[in-house]
Amino acid sequence: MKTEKDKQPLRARRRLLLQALGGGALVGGLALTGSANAKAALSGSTRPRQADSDVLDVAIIGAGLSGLTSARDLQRAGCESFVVLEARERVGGRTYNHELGNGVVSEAGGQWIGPGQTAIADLARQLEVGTFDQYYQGKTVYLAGDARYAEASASGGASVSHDIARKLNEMARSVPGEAPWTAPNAAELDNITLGEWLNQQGVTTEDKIGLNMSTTLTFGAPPASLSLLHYLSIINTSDCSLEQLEGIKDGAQETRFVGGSQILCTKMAEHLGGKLKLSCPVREIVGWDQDVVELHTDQGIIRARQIIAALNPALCNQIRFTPALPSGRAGLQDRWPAHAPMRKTVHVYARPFWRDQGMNGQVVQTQGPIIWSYDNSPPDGSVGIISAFIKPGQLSHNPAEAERVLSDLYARALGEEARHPTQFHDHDWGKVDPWSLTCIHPIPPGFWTQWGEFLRPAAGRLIWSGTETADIWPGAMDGAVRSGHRAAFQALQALTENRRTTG
Amino acid sequence: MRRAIVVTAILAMFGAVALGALIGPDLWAGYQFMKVVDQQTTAYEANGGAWPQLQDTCALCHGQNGQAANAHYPSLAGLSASYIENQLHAFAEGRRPNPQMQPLAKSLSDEQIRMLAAYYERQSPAANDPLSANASLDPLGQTVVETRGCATCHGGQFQGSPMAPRLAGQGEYYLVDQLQAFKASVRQDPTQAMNGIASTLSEAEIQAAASYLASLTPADSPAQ
Repeated sequence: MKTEKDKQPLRARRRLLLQALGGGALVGGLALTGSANAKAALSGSTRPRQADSDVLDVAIIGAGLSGLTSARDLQRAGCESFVVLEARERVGGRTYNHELGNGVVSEAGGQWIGPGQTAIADLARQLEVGTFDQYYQGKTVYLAGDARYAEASASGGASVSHDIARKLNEMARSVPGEAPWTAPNAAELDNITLGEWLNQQGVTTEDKIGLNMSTTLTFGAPPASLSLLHYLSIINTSDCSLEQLEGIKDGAQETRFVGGSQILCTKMAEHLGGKLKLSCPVREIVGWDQDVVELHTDQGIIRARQIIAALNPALCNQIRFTPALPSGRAGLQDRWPAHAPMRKTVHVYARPFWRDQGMNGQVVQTQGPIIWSYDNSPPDGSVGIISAFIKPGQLSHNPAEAERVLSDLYARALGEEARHPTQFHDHDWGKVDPWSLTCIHPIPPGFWTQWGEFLRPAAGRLIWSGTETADIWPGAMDGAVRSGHRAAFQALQALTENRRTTG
Repeated sequence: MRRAIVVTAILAMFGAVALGALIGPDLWAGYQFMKVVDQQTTAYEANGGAWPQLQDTCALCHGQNGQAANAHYPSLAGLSASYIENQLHAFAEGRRPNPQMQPLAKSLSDEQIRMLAAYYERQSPAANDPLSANASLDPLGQTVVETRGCATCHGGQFQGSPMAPRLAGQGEYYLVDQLQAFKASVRQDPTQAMNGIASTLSEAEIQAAASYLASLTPADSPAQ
């Protein structure tokens, strides 16, 4: 067994030498004749490098925003020797559009961008995807038991007391969003939960309602489970402003994409042709410390010189690595929190009737299935859509029952018209398939200071990508795009470096 | 919200009931709202301590007070503390595979595990919503459960025991998942009893048994 493995590097090195020669010619050809001809050369019958023709320069695992951004960058750099492997039968990762007919969509996954999220805004412009404002004008309805209370909020989203927000924003200045474990007082801040810290400050009943809701939505868990250090690091990445992080107006929930967020991935995938392999989960990665890495997929073995793992660390942990990963990275993957709830529902109505009555479609329940509902109607308001974040275990799995329970709540909150939606959709990401596991990472105390340093450093030929690895806006769609750019640079640099040393 | 609490303070000062009608419907609604929130908070703190509680995180999937309304997720209410402790340790040590629960359990201290186990043992289990439970008329489920001797470990009313979880009123699809996992040896019972029993069950028997057990009303008394 060991002797067989020992032979691999020699064979691989020979192939690499041939590839270095052929690859140079290919890139040259691409510059002269354009990518169409280059593609033809690659797929045509006159393959220049028979011996290593099955070894790709790069294999990207995951066709979400991150992986597809990397693929796009590689193509733009002239690299055509790559493949994108996607476990699902669709692209988009944690972005997914429900198609509601007549071109109307409602997003089941990530959907908003806001100030400072420039990487994804640029990408949307390049892909000619338009944006529009999240509707928030009017009153939010709060439900507690049978009681109902409506009130408008300035920014349209969750808010906490000014004093608490000010203190958090101030503390966030010294916690770098890209590496919270390097903060001067990291150990101290990582030893306490957000909940414990809040109790030291003293919080009002209304703050508790707001914080239960906002931390569950934005961080993936209520305050008792979150590290204060982590909380501050995400405020830091939001320009040291909790208001910007949680708000709609001037906040991270301000802007939506025309056609839904998944359209960014669909458009990027259009240029990939045969380089995109759907329904192709990677089960095992062999020889990541060698010159050529083998990816064992449901569609056979893929061999490549560099691997971009555009997956969250919890998903990486579902893949078998041979040999085992270095203990630091293995420990990080093994403990990466994957329990953030992510169930979203859609109620479609003939029109956004709540707007006429001065309501914004937002409903917050202090106890019960609804974490937060909001107006998710299309830009022209041609139909009315109420989308909601749901506590997965607190609403029936049965679609008819789930629809009825929510319709009753909306009727109480928004009026009788809400009782009869024309369509209902329900998506519990945790149960639909095993290919996301979690939406965002609710980092518990003690995690970043022990495991954070192992998040990004490459292991052999494995480049870690995905929004979790972003230096700005980790966890957001914008972070996914940023990580995708960085991973592509890293892969190209590694290829150059290797060719230099082997050639 | 901000106004609601101010209003509550004002109303409390002047005597709420009389003022409600005078101030107007909005303010009155705010007062009523905060009153219910206060009641909810009192019940919440009496049951599990000061806000915020660690079990707030569990409640998202396992239901308020451990009673899930979704048959895909297990209800924890009324499970014995020793069973919950064992399962959390099994997740943390990788003996029971689950990509969501493993890292979560690893992040818990022994003290937190004991606290959560004691909390959920105290919660009263409830019957599933008959509309949600697939109340099956198929007698196969009951036959399977009786002939395989489930009651030996899980109790005469399937209310659970210190060694085995409550099955009565448990989530139907969760039960199916677990029986399939035992059958495929993905989940290992330390005594192998469940692996042995599940390995003899057909897919139809698994479905029928899960449906039958989910439709049972749990006994009032917590597991002992």
